[in-house]
Amino acid sequence: MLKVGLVGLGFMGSSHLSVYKQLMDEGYPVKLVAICDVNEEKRTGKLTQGNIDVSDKSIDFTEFSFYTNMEEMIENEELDYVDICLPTYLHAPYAIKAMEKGLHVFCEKPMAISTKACQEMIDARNKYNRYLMIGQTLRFFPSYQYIKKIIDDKTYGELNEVALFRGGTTPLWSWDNWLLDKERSGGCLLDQHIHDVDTINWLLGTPKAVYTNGKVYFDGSGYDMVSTNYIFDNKVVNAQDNWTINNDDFGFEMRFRFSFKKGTIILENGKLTDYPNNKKSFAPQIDERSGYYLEIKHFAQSILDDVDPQLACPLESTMETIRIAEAEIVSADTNKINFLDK
Amino acid sequence: MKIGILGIAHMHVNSYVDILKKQGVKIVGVYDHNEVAGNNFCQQEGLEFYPSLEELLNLDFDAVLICSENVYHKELSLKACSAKKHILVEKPMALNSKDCLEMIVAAKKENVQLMVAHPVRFSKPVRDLKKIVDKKMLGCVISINTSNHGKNPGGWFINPVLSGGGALIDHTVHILDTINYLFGLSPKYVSAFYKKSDPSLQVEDSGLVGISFSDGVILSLDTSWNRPKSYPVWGDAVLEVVFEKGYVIIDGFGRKMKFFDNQSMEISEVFYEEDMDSLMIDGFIEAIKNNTAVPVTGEDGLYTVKIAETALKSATQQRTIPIN
Repeated sequence: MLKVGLVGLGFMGSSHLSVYKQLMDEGYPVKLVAICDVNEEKRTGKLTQGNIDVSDKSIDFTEFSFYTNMEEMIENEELDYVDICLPTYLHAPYAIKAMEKGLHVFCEKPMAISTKACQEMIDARNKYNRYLMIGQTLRFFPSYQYIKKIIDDKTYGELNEVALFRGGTTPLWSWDNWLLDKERSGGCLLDQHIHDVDTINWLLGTPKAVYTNGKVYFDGSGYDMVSTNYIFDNKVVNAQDNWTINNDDFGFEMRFRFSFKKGTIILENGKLTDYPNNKKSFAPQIDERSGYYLEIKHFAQSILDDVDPQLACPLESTMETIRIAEAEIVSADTNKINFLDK
Repeated sequence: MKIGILGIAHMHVNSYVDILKKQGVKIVGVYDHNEVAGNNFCQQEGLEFYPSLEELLNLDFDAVLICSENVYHKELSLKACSAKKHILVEKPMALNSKDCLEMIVAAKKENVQLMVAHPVRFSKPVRDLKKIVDKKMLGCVISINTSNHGKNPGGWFINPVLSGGGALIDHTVHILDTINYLFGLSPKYVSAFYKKSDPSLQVEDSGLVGISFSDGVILSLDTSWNRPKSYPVWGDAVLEVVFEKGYVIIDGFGRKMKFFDNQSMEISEVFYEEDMDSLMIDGFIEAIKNNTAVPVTGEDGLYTVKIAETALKSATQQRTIPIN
């Protein structure tokens, strides 16, 4: 039986909490024993509502020990790993601290606030010989896994075009409004658009160059709107994000279009459709479970099996995603195409 | 009758599969979280491997046999319940009594049968002793001195995250199921000690358990993986029972013949009675086919886990613990 401590009960922490509840209800041998958050009000389960309703009101918070300090939690509980759902700038210092204290770490995306901080996490992982994996959750989403398989199996031949979009309401729910603070979150570009950067990196590798337009909409925020062209040989690749679509009817939306020689696959309005050229389109049969569920279960199963969880989501790769995003910020700042070293 | 196998980590699965094949039971497929191990097993046994538990459970069949690492017994049982499959789960039923209770409740709710694989009660000597007890041929039982020895099985058995504990857990449940079957006694106090013969072991490989029961019967149990490699058989399950008017000693694993071979200069021992695993599987198949009660229930499994977890607690906390 694995014992887990959840660090940070904001929007993502709440969604991870629901996943642990589901796993425990299913009898899966993982037990969330403790929760840590600086906000005392979270003790009774006051959850953060984001732009996706991921919280579960049926959770009995008396089942968990509550702490406002992670080190105290680690000292008092016999934990196997911590699940870190803190603001981005705290990922590296908290992950390193937990590994130093002997625990494995599952850490929310983005990996860290900078490539330098990412490297410190990797160094700590090697120094303390603990398991560390970043929750770049789209790599576990069945709809994105479907694309990965089409690419790997060369089902539709060469990939010609990729168009990605994410967007929705402004995240005004975060603790101390950290998400709208460039220094602590990196803005929409590093927090939300990073999913698409990671998708491109995961599926296509590092682009030769990036050219990004960005707009800062809120004072002190990072880029709140972003559009990036990724330069690859013989491929048209673009990703856009905008977290200022402030209408609850919209909420949040993620879309993709992958166009191959022999067919195109589109995700929009939550619906995945496969359009083979000149044949009847169809909705592929995919796993109905969420990527959050699948990534956490993957991590826990890896710990139980004593195999490295990052095999499914390598740290070097999630760090490379941050390097590409940093190149995008430079491109947007200078309004110039930015070439990436190989 | 058709069966699906969930988990192949426990070595008993090999003998169970042989028995099922012999009895003409169709094995529709095998699931294990470890795809490599699962595929290898299926290749050896000529069975079909399913990397997806859900996909296997969606097939049409009657019952599952769960032989995973102990830590997954609960999850696999709950999923089998939801899929309306009867269950035969390897012992120990689960890691703790709370999980056992959840499994019992789920099986009742989904109206499936839940049996725990406790084979010793099926052996011929235990059946013979049962007659002596039931007919009160030697009067009432006064005290029991018992032992369950084996060899250290290694692998996941000695990883406490996967097994829940060492010899104290693994063997206490064997003997206590036999005691429950023979005498139906209610435990009152448990006092236990354990030891690791090698300090680098993560779990105990020797244990001593003392139990007093509600009607004054006392029991001592040596529950250990301490048979040397050269020991001629895997182990034993010896019961010495003191009655008002006599005394009985048996090996619950069955009667053995001794085999002295001058060519190899080896002495071996062979159990010659009908195999208890085979009798146990027969009991399960018959109950499912005829829709009668399974011979070892979830409640029986819970009885043993409750005592084993209390013994582990007693040994850890170094005190006698009352049990209700």
